[in-house]
Amino acid sequence: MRISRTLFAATLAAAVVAPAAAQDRTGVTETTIKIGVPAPLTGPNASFGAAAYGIQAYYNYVNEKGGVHGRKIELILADHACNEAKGVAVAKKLISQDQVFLINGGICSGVALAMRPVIEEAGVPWVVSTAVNQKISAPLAKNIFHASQTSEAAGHGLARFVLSKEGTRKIGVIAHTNEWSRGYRDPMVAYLKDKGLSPAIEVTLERGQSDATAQVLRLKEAGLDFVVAILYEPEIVVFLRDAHKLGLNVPKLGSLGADYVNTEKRLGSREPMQGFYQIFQYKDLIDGPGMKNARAIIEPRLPPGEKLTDFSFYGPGSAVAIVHVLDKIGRDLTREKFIAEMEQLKDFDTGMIAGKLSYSPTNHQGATQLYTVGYDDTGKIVVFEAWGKKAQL
Amino acid sequence: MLAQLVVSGIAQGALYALVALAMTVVYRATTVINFGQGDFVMAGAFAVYVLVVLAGAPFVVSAVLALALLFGIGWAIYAGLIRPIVAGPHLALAMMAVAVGYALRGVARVVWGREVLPFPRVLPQGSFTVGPVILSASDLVVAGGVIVAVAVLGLVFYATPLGKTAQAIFQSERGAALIGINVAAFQGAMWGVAAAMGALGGILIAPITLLYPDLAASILIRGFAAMTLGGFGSFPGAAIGGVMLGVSELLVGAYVSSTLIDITAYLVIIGVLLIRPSGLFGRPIAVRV
Repeated sequence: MRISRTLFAATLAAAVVAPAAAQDRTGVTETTIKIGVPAPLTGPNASFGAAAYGIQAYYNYVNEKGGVHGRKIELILADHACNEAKGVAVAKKLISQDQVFLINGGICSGVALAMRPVIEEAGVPWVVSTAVNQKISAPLAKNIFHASQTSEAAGHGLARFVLSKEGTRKIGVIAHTNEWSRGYRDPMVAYLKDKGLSPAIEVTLERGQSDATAQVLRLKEAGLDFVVAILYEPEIVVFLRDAHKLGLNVPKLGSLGADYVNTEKRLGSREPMQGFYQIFQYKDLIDGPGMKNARAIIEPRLPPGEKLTDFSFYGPGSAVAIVHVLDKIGRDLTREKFIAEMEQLKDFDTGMIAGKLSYSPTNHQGATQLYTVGYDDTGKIVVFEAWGKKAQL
Repeated sequence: MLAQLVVSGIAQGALYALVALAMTVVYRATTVINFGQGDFVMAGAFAVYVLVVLAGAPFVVSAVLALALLFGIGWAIYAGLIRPIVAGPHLALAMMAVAVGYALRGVARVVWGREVLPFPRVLPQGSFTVGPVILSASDLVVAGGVIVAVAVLGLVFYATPLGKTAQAIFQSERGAALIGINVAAFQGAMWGVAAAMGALGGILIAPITLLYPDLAASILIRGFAAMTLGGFGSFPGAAIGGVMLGVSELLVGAYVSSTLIDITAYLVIIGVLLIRPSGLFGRPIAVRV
């Protein structure tokens, strides 16, 4: 009897709660849709905040065009300074205090990983724009979507490009030891393993180190065919400088996390860039014809003083997808409809992200295409599909 | 490989030595360990960047102005923040130094927090081969700069009346004051010298590491480790400690594991404090209580 009563009460509660949950319109008013963007706007990794300003620029563009079905996007930029604890606090603030409809962003993988349990539990839709670690969106969470290439896709991309150079057998890896770096390294090594290979040598270069002599000499001594460098911006410069100085004359491939053109500027010379390639997440070089439209939208709407860099486009592609989905849903907007419509998105061209976004109820990692950027034989920076093969953009 | 590691380690260690030397200057003058020294390095580098890149001033003029500016900043920090609490516990002084460093870093972040800037190419470029060793011209400049700094500091502190003044203040501020030494002025000047040395370090380090507000965070702990290894208060010790640390890092990285490079400085601090707390060239001292 007691069990029956409990069951009855539970059924009644579910009946009362379910309709409300099925029509969650938090963050939506007659005239606005509130979207939260967590990002590192201050601190040592604030350069990645450019992605958030790119997102902001795109939503400004949408608002200038009248918004989505008469609703303007109300954006809340929330600074987490690339710090895990702050990231969790920011996620809670956006969800509970600001009551956003959805979260768009996620820059700094470690922070995004820390935010995941909070956002997953809250059930707020989250379209990850920039943080690459595949564990942010896998195992699958109903409300979390990756709209940038994950580090798993990037890791596979690294391995594919390296192996596309004929005769590559001995591969060396230089990487940080953090979660971001492992996000690339582990899938790359798994891909190589499938091909019967494993790195001949792995060395680390930690953040803040200003010398890579020991690492370069060890890589050089190993007699490698290719070196994969999974390093952030300052350290990739240190590595390339010392590799050039000490004669590590093998092709090198960098992960996402640094800007190719800026790397050369920081090195102050093209010579260390010879033989250096970097995987690339966009449709085209940012000054190329394939990104002309995106540039026209983003560049004039960046905040005063904000310079256009590669990272300016590492975010707004996800906003393009969000706006497309919001548009498809129409005026009757709920979180459930948003999630359902995201899962239906197929072969969607953002005009920025390489390839097309495709999701399903069992796959929330929609971006898989990656290119590689580097100098060709004529000394021009071009986008490659594989070793020696230019991409047909 | 060994020869290359040793030579590159010396060049790298010279950077640590420069930080350690500046910390030693403050320590000898005030018995305070300046944990904000790394941020003097950063501030000096940014000062030169602003003058050269943004104001278009010639590099040499900019460098001299940056040294002067940092000297003034160092003195002002002493006069405004250190002197009022100088009679307090050492911990408070050390914490003030940390706070000042973070404040300087915070100011830099406000303006350049989102940038990793290329520093003007002020050091000679190119490299050359000597036997099995490849040397870059910038390595030689940095190492040469440190040798000159050690020589000048050694001369000043060991062979001039100024050195005797420093020694007198180091042993007893009150005693020094009683014999007519202006302790506050001297200590302020030493904070200024340390800050100016930070600027020199920044000018030498930034072309190698790039320029960003956190550039000296890892250099600081290495400078402290060098100071610990060489012996607190010893200029030759700071220089040799820096070089030994630089060489150790590369040898450990090449022959043991590159993962250990980052913790070599901490291992050195632990080892020295356990085995020989006074360091290689330091003398056991009585600490003010």
